[in-house]
Amino acid sequence: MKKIFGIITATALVSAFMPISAAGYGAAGCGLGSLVLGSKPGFMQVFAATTNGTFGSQTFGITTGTSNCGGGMLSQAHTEQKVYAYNNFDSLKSDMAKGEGERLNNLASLMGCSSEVAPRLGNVTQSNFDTIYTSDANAETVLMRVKSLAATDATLNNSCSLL
Amino acid sequence: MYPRTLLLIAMFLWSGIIFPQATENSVPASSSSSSENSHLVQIQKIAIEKKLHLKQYWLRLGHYKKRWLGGYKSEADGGLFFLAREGKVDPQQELIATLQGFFLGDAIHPTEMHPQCRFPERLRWLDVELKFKHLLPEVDCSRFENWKSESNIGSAQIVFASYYLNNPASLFGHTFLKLVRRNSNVNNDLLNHGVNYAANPTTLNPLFYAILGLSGGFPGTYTMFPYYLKVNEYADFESRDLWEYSLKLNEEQLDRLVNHLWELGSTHFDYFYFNENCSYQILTLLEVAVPEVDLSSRLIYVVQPIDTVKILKENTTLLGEVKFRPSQLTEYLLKYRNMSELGQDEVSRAISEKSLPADSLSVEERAEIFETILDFYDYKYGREIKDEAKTHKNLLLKERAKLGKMQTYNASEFIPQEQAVDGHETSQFRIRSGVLNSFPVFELTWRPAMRELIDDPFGYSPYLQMLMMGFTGRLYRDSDNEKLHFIFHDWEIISIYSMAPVQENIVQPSWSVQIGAQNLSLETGKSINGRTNMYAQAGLGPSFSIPVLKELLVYSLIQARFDISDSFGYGWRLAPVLTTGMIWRIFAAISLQSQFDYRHFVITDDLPIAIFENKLNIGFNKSFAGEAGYRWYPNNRNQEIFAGFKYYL
Repeated sequence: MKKIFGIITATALVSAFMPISAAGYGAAGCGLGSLVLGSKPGFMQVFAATTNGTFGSQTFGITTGTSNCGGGMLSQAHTEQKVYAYNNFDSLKSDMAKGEGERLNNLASLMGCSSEVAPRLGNVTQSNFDTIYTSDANAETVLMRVKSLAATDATLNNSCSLL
Repeated sequence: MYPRTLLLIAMFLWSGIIFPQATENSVPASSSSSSENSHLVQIQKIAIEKKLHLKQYWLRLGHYKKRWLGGYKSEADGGLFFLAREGKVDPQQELIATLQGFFLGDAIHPTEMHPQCRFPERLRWLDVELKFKHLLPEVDCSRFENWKSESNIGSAQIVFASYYLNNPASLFGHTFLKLVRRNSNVNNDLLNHGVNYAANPTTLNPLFYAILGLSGGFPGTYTMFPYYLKVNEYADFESRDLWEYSLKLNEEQLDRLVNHLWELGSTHFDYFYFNENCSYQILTLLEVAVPEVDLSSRLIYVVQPIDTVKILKENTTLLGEVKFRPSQLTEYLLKYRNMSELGQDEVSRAISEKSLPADSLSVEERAEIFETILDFYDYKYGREIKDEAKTHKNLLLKERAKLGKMQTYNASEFIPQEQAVDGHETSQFRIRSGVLNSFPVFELTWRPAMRELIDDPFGYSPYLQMLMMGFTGRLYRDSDNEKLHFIFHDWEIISIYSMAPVQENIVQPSWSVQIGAQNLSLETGKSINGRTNMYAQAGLGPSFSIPVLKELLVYSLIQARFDISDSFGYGWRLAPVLTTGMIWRIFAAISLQSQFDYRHFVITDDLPIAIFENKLNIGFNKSFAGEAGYRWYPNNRNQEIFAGFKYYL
């Protein structure tokens, strides 16, 4: 009996001291974004591969978001929308179900809409919720559908400059 | 691959994630014309005559600190930050080399940035002092200028992310900067910039992590992110409330901040978990922005993230208004607590049965219930939701959308009464005197960080204990020969209690980790017992807050304990431990804790130990508290009473 107790105790001890960060949190001092380091293995390598070396080439053009890599401001804005839609996929979905919310307002802002029409975007996306979020929806299709819905709405189409 | 690429681009777009880097750190031989050369020599001479290299601002720009034995040494560790070979330890050489660098003509390697572009703030300040800009060769600094104009920064905030116990690096919270665009408003606040200073750990092994983190083994760097990534990470995934304090900086101060940030992008600092950490670096950055203030010298031994805000609040007029951004968990709890009892029951039922709220309820009530459950799921499955819960959530979303817009409770308007910045100071010095059996005892404790469960919870969570590197010594008067003995009593390497009461559909274990060394005097009843034991103890269990007395928490943990000491028969012993107790915030700053520990040793033949302890703590203000307590070891009838005084600093 004593032995069994001992084994249980020892196991409990060992598991208690397992690295907490193994769960995937970037174990950075003072809490650096786990997005960079922890939650997605492999991401760090992509990041390193791109930053390693010089910036005499295209990389730095992207870094500063300038037009000297071609594309210019417009394509940058569209890229920013995509990135935003990807990183806020779930919270955008909740906002559209509610017909309003901060994430949705920020998306409206990225789409070049004025503050006054942001609520309108909420109405439009809420009433078309089922069309936007089909079972195969991903960040890119959601964004595309939202933008084309906005384009067919007179108010939004008028106000939003980056559809 | 696709999502990763997007993430990557997110950070690139936010520009400055990769600040400029160059491959060579010394200045190549100058090929500039002789007239430029004579100007340079002349200007360098004036600079030395004016002793610019000893001016406080130059020392701050180079992050130079006085050394104990005279001279200076920069805290920056990246070679690219210095133009002179001995730049790290010689502010004068660095100044000379910087001026020389500014005058360089076309000798710059294509992959390297010109010193004029790499050090915009050095250039600005030196030109104010020496007026030489019109003599400089024309250099294209479009990288820097584009970065600056596109960042379009109009104001700055300092953000405190509250304590997060599930990651050792975030135990004590985190501070970072938020740079706000000129055209920012409530509808694009998430598109602002987060600027983070943090270590880049090279290991996830907790032991190496701790050692390297404490000893400066990781490089710390500045990075810039879209603010929404920070909000996602802290508030959504980690359930940490964010406090955003606006900084009252004028245009000029803000400009210095942004310029210097660019300069720091090319370097790194050795990261020290306790002192040269995020909190400290942000203060040194602010010292460049606002040269009139002296902040970092206030920090001597240990700096904690909340100290950044505390120091700014207590010593400057830089802090403006505060905005509270509730975490996903806080948001859920606020909504839940705002509901009628009927609504709460519906939420709990729908979560456990994975069903929809009853049709008999009004549309408003149903909308409220839908949103509360959705917040619950977002809290519980922040990073990823799967299976049954995912299906249920999707159904809820679909049904919620059908109801149209509804006026529901808005958690973002909630402002907590107790601000983190107004809690007690973060280190403590404690004196206690008491009686162990019949011996008088006097005890001194120094705890660099941070609080025990019983400390006044104002501004902190009442359910957290976080102690690190606390040290206690005791004075005993020997009853036989009247001699005084000062002996080691206790070393708390780490002591954490994280209590998570089971409530409002949230079922989480409470847990504890204790590692340290302790004198065996209490256990043996012999006051002058020099023997110590090393211990490691950890475990988990449930805790409950009692409905009638909201501020009373009852807990019960099953733990495992391992002791090492040469005074044990085997040199070690092992025990399951039952820990049961309660903590009661009786009134505002007055708390009472009672705890019973029972250790039943296994394998070896050590006798079981029981400990019963009661403590009362009365917080007077941010700096002082009084305490009293009673400890009893029933199996060997040792008992101790004590009263003490805590000074937080």
